[in-house]
Amino acid sequence: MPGDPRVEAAISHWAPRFIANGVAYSDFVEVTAGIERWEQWCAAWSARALVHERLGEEALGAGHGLSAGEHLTRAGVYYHFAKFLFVDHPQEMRAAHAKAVECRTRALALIDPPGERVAIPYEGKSLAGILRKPRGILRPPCVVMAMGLDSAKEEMDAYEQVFLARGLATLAFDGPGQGEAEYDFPIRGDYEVAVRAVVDWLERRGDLDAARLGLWGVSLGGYYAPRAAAYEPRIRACIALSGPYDWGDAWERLPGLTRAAFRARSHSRGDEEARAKAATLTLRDAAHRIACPLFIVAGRLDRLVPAAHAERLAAEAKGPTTLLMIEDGGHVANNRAYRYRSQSADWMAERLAG
Amino acid sequence: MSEAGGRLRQVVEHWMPRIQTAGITALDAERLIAEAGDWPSWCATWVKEGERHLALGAEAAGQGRMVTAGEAYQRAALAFHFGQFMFFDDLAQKEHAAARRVEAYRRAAPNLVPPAEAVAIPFRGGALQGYLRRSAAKAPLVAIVPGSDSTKEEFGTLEEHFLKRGLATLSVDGPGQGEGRSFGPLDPRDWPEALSAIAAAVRPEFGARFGVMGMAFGGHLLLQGAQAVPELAAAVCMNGFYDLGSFWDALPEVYRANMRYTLGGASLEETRERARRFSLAEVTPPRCPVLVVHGGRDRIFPPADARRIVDFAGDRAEMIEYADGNHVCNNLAYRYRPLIADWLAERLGARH
Repeated sequence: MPGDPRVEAAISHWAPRFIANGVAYSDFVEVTAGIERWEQWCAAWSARALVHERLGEEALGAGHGLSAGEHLTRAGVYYHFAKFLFVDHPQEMRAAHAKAVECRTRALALIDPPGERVAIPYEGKSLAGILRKPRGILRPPCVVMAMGLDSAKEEMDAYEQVFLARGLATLAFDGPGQGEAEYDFPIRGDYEVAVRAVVDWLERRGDLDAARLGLWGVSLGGYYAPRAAAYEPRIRACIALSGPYDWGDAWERLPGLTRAAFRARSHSRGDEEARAKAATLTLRDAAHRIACPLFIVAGRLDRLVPAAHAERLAAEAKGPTTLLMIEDGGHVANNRAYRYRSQSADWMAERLAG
Repeated sequence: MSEAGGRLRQVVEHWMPRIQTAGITALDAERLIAEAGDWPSWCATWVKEGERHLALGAEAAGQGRMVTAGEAYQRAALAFHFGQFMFFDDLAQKEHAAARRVEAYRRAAPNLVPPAEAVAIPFRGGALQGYLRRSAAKAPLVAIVPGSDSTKEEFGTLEEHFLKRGLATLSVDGPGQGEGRSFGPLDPRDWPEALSAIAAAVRPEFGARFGVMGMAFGGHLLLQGAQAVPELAAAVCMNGFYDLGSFWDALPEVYRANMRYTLGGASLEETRERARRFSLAEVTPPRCPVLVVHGGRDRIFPPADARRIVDFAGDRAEMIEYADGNHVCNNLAYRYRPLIADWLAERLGARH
């Protein structure tokens, strides 16, 4: 059994997320049982990811495209969790990250519905995204998906499916400080700048209905999404999952691994600078400007972002607001995924209908 | 540990991966097991959970959110199912949970994507009950035969692998299983007639583009009956057995209790006599390709016994044995499920 408190923290805070987002339970039990020190985390998960990657290659060799897509998607999720929060070992992290991107990218043409890797122009470079469109719908509405502090587009298959099943396209993208963009662009509190670039780009495509755009964000993305919705009028409806109202207020109680990830991804030189940047992620001036319909999900038992943050956002947002407080839910209520994933997708489909 | 506590431990040890693979999340399963605390509370705890999901389904249906309602009803059916699973101590509770399972799934069926159509297959003056799901026009069909304590309502996640690969599915309670218990306990002699009845019912739509997969005990049952269906194009024996009597004494206690319920018999000795009938020694093998898949760490049906199926089924049989697979390999569901679906899709000529 793990004795390293960082390993224990990672397991106790995030086990439900791993399972809900595609890690097989037996793998979770076996891999975590074999990790004694945090330093082993990335290698242990990468080794298990390789098992699935090879299954994907076997399936490809046999001409079984759909199976290959499933195996490679799973491999991508495992490599992603290998590099998850592993910011103190940048080389190892980056190698696992590259494998996550590679596996999910290989899967895109094979899954159903397929996905397309896209590049969204942003500040002289680009942001990488994955666009998936529901079958049989001409110019569907689209849900733009904002990642959190340590999630990335490669983790999103399970979340995408509930929207796709309801006739909505999905665009999961790595914004500043996230996924592929974290090396070039630090975290920024004014995330509406990134969302504006995404919406501009979506409007130039002819295959999606850019007049029916939703925005969705998970964890720290549950801050980014309402923040952007406050300043981006082209967003028709917004879902915020377990985001902070004010990241500075949440800072002190965050686990060390989370603070370290924020320090690295905000490109801060030390803890003080990180703390100062954290304080810029706030809805104090934004919440009352949110005019579009807003669906907020929070877990009452959340130990990372206190439920009071969601309640404050719900109280201050100007538009029609629904707060789904899951009394026995933890962070992002991943221990009760069935209480909000389908329901929030239904809500979004209704808001973006016709 | 008391006998009752021992039963809880045995069920969790043998079947936790199956509960998850069927669609109950690990976290829910762990929470419910902790909530039950001891074996006598097992069924009631799961039934309460089933009612909670049923209420979520009704709430969604009230808002016209039918996909979400279907998902919730399906989870309710699974919770009721695992409540009655291996619960032979109080048959009134078991039967109540089983009836709730049937009712919850009946509500789920039209709302699943793709929907499940209830079909009644004429059999001995009554009917075998099944659910048919179609993925595409002219898709070939795979019939799914449950095992000794599984039923058609358990297979939603399994069906999805087939549906995605361009196959239709028919999960059906055979005689002695689920709703088919009205035809009496499981008996190998029923299966040629049962499979013939199923084949006759699907022939108008699917003709010879028809395969069958049996889960665990069902892997044996389908081989008992396959000889009677000459047009059968492919068969998968997922972790079945060749001769039940040959390893009867080595079965875990909980499984013998299961046999007592499923095979009947006034005493355990009589059940054992009935178990001896479940052998392929005198059975004519099917003429179609047969895929045998088995877990090398199965502690219920020994891998060595399963290997005898390959000799039985002849040179059109192949076997895949996963060295680290448990009973029905549900700890490696991501290996066997896509593999079987691909194998059947190729044998039956599915287009995907």
